[in-house]
Amino acid sequence: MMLHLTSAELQIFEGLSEGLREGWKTKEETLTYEDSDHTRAIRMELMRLHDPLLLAIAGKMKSAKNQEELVQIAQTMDISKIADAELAEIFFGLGPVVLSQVVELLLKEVQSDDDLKIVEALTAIRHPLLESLQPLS
Amino acid sequence: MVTNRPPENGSPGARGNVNRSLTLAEVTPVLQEEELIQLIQNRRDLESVRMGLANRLAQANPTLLQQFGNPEALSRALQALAESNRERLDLLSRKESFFKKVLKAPFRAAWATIKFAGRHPILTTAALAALALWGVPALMEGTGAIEGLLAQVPVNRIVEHMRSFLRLSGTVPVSPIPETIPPDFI
Repeated sequence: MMLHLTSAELQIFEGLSEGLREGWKTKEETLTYEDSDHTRAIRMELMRLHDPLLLAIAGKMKSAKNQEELVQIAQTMDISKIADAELAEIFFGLGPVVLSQVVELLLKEVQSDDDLKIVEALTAIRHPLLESLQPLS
Repeated sequence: MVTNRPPENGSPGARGNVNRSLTLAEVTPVLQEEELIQLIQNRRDLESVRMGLANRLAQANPTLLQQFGNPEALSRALQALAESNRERLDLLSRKESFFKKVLKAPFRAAWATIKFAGRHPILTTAALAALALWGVPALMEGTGAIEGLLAQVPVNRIVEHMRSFLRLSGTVPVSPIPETIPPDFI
């Protein structure tokens, strides 16, 4: 079980109880990426969603008449029903900076091995995302 | 949802019968953006790739060929179009690279774990933030609707997280998170 964590995330991880950390190895994520509003806007423009569930949620959000409707729509989101490729679209759209924020939030709320497994999975995806956005040498 | 904005600048390369540039809207019904990516890559066979794409475009839309005069002019206009969309095509290329890696077998377990989280508030909120940024531009124009959404989702953590994601995105005018969230919100 391996976590690819940034130095900031490593600090949070090291603050977890010994019991939670037991069995986990860490490797430092050294790749970084500086995002910008402009680049994020283009990535969002390139996001192509086909999942009926996501399209329905986005469509309903668009046509919601009031805040109560928006709340109801938001509560229908269920990650487990989303295809891998659609999740990849979302992750690429959000970008590694937001994804890192997600990782940090998750780490701060870790209570079990299962929580750390989610962090492991997210950081496993984040690394190739970071790789794909590195400047060309 | 995906928009193909035509370039506003002229086409320096086009020397056909009309002095105008190609637009993505004219090209994408025939050529895939993935093919246009080839035009911004440092390829040795760029000339033949460009002519190949221009010929396909001309075949599918003879009017374009008439307007640009000859395949060479159409080819140059195609290159100018790719150059004016370089940043977009570059990101598209990077997206392809990301997809090629993460949609392969070694990452299936990672996706399965993420999906197993189901309705995890933090992951759900991140996905919703993406949908909001992608699909509801009206919500990003200060209508206050997102604020209402965030204020009413009955888990205060979601409120905080969604706001922080949207604030981080820089696209949405997000007011400060209230210092105090009513206890009955949880």
